[in-house]
Parts: sequence; C-alpha cells; structure tokens
Amino acid sequence: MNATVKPTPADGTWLDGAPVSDTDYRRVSEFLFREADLLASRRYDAWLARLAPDLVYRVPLQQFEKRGEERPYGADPAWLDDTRHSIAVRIRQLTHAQSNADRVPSFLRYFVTNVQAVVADDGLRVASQVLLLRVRANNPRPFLLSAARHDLLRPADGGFVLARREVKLDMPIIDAPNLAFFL
Amino acid sequence: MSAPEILDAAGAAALVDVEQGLASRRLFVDEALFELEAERIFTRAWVFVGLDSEIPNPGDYVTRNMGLDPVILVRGEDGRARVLHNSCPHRGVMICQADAGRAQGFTCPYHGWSFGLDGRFKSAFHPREFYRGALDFDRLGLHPAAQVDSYAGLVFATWDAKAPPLAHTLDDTVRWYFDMFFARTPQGMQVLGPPQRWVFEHNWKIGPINFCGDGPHAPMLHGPISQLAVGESAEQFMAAIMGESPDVILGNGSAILLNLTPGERLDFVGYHPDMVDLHRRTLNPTQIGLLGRMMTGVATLFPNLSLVQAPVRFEADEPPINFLTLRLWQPVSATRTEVWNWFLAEREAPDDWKARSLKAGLRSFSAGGTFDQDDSEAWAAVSRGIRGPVGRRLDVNFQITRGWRDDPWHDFPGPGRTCRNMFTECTEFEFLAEWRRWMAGER
Repeated sequence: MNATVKPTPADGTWLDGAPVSDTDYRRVSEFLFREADLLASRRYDAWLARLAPDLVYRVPLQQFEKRGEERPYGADPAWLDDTRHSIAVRIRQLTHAQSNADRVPSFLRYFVTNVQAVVADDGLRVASQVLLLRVRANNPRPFLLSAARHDLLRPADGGFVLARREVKLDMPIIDAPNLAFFL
Repeated sequence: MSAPEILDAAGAAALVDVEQGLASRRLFVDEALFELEAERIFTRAWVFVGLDSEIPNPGDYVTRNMGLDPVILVRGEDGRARVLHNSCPHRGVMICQADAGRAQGFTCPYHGWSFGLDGRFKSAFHPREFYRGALDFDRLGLHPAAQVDSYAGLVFATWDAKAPPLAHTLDDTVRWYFDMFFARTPQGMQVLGPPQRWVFEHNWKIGPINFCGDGPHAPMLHGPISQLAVGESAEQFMAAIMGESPDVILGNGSAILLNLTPGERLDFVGYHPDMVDLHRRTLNPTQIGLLGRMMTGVATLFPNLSLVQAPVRFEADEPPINFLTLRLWQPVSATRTEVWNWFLAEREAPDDWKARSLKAGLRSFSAGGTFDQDDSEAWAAVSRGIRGPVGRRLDVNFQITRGWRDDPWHDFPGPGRTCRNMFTECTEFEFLAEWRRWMAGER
C-alpha cells in the first residue's frame, strides 16, 4: 500500500489548478479514449501496462441520505478498492479459460466525455464522465452504468500512466449481478 | 412430480419430495408461489434486519425489509433498537426514504404526521382537537415488528407475535458454530460500513441453498480464482476443499460448511495473531480446533441470511487475510433478489487490519467480488433455464442425498448432524425440506 496517497477530494477541489495546454488536453483525451477502446475490446494486458505500479483505484459506495440527517459510518465503504496487483489477479480470473463470469463475453461499450484537466505537482489531474453499456448473453436488457472519474495521470515514457483513479457511480444500488468489467 | 394448481398446504408440500430428493422447479420461477412465500415464511420467520453497530447512537436509523415489507431499524433515546413498519398509518406513505441517517423522529412527507424514535404518534397537521376525538392517537404509531431480538450484535425481527423466541432459530447448535464468527473475541464483531446492494436475476432461495454447503460448485466455479487469490496457500486451500469438509445440518433448515486443513496442526491462516489469543480465551478448545484449521466457513440461517469467511491474498507482499461477510438474500420477485452484503471484523483488531480485511472481502465476495461474479452468472442461468412451461414442470435434482443421508459423520466433534463431506448436497436439500414445512403450515 502507498500510504502517502490521499483519497481524491470529493468536494470539487480536484480541478483546482491551471488548465493544461491544448496539446496536453489532446494527449489526455487520447489516453482516455484509447483506454476505453482497450477495455471494450478486452485488451487487458495493454490496459494493465498503462497502470502505475503504485496505482490507487477506488470505487466508493454511496447511499441515499436525507438532507440534515447524514451521519458518519467510520469505515471507508467501497464497491471496489484495488491496486495494480489485485487488478492483475482480477484480469487473470476474468480471462481464465475456466472462468464463468465472462465465458460468453458480454458486449461492452464505453462513452467517455466531459474531460477536464489541470496541472498539478504530481502530474495531470483529470476529471471525466463515463457511460458504460453492457449486454450479457440471454439478457437483452442492456445494463447502463454512469459514473464520474477523477484520475491522476503521471508522465511516463513520453505518455502517461494512471496513478490514481476514483470512480463515483451514479447509483447506490447496482441493478446487475456483478461488476465483471473495469471502469 | 405433478404441479398442483391450488397451492394449499398439501399442494405446497407436494412440491418437495423429501423421500426422492426432488423438488419442483416452480420453487425458483413461479410468481404465485413467491407471493405465498412472502406470506407464509416472511411474515412469520425471524429475519435479519441489521447490526447493532450500524446504529450505535440514539436516533441512528437504517431502512431495511422484512420480506416484502419496508422497515426502519432505529435506536431510541432509551438505547433500544426498534423495528417499525416504514409506512404512515394515515395513507401508507413510506416515511423514511433514505438508506441511513440520524433523526430526532420521523415525519411523513405527505400530510405531516410525525412520530418519535419509538414509533409513537407525536403530531398531525392540525392540533389534536381539530380531529374531534375521531382518531385514537395513542394507537396511531408506526406499526412495530411483533418481536425484536439480537444475537452477538445481529438484530432480528418477526411480524409474528406467536413465533417462538429467537433462541429457537438461533438455538444452542447454531450458536455453537456462529460464535466462531460473531462472538470470538470479548468485544465481538463490528460492521465495516454500510452494506453493498446489488441485484441477482434469480430466486432468493438459490443463494442460501448454495451457502448451506454446495461442495460441487466450488472446484467447478471457484477453481481458478482459488488458485489465484490464495497464492502460496493455494495447495492448502484446495486440499481443505477436497479433503475434510464437515457440512453440518444445524436443524430448522440452517447449515454450515467448514473446509479444514488436513492434520491436527492449527495454522490459523488469515487471522491476526493478537486476535488468535483473544479467540483462544473466548471459544472452547473444540471450537478453536476447528477455527485454527478453517480455510473457509460458509453458512445459512433459514430463511435468507448467510455468511462466508475465507483467507485470500490479492497482494504480492502480503500474507492471506480473512474476510467475513454477512449476506442477506432479499426477495424481490420470483426471479429477482437483492443481495445485501456487510463486512465484519473484530472490534479489537487494529484499524489497518480491518481495512485490509475489508479489501480482501471486496475483492472476493461482493458486487465486484471475483468469487461472486462466477456464481451470479451460473445462478442467473437457472432462471433462464427453467422459466418455460416445460422447464417448470420438471424437477431440480438432489437424489445424491439418498446415497448419503443415512451415513452421517458420527464422531465429528461439533453438535448437529454432520455430513461426511461437502459433496453430498444433504444440507442443501434440508433447506428445501424446511421450506416445505413452512409452506405446508407445519411451522
């Protein structure tokens, strides 16, 4: 675990800083769009190569709360809380010949939009919104998942690696049997 | 087996052939049967509503379900946990629409009737005189569960005032095993945040039946991830799964399966060393003998609560760590079930350990869990396989039980009726036999 990496601030300060140059905006956009293609086509090894060794990857759990009645819960609830290593294990599981979750691969499509990026000391801070469409075998009802992402992109080898990602799902309950994909 | 059209007690009973080890597939797809279950089981059985540690302070509440009815689990100013029907006595509006929070009372958003944390009526839109004595305000509180009780911080309730006490469901036999998970340190377990909720596309019974001890699915569905997620202890893990695996019929439809490492040595794989000292002080030597060899523990408390514990390893530089999840299979329809998934850890454990245990659980048994994702697709395929008129005329097959049911493991040191291994399907079929008793009016 990398104890020095703090969770992404949820209060909107993620994008405090100077906007990136036009060139960097284009490079950031291409990073995200290329990533979406890799995930949709399950080129997981290529995706893994774009994750920093000290990646912090979190999908926090949210609840419906009434205004004025919110209270703290002590623990840090999450849907997913992963590292590069645990993601690598997930990929080996998901792509294993004997694995059942994606044995008949579902159809996946990622739409990435609303990209914003600023310059920070530790890299480029990026916000984006993502809409995932997933259609599983024998269930014609598409599963839609929308989320906001806060990413930290760190320059590496002339490009970027993903050093931190927080994905805020727009749903406190997931109307699907599993999360056998990546965001 | 023929499919009775009228599901009176005899008709329901005929759906499970205890002698033959067969059950009608209608149990898993039939909406009419589902409505009957909601009435005959879920308005009468003790059902799990939450944990004491989810509502530590007065005013803390969470919203839950008892069967198909929404309830509020709330701690009163007197410190008592109460379970109140989540609908206004005036017009039935759901009073509390948040998942959780802290309130001073509850006010209906429609006409403003308000209630105390104890559910008692407090005020309506007009002063009481306006109602000219037509309403008996003392009787207009939120409808409470008939009985509320708890075990080791787990809160249960029933709508049935005549139901035998919780200690009948959680009797000495059940508690002997459940204490190994929920009462194994002096301070007990605490919840690690609010539950995950997600939706399975299958009947609510499939999960709890599987968690009674479905041996054959483990190597089939979980073989690859077991190898990947337990690292160097993979061999130990598989040896435990394929070897000594007492699968215990606890009675009343409940069951527990333990996968034990071979031999007598207590390895305590995945436990915090300081906690092991506390376990030794809290549990008896027989329980410790099982805990120290446990590679997985999985159990179901009839009708719809399950647990899983297992040591997993998702980091290259960390040893395996146990997670403990408590899971409610919340019925929604005949082919739709909400899963509610809590993680627990010893209150005395260091915060860093709790966080790691939570992560281990999130990566294994959760909406994003590597074990769950293979199960959920197999189970969804059950609904798809049997929803047609021909499919539901057929049976689900537990006939293997006829070969094993009269040959229990006599000298197993724990209480209950223990099956010799986890492949006999006997505990699973016992769940269906219990279901039959409830549906036939024998409970």
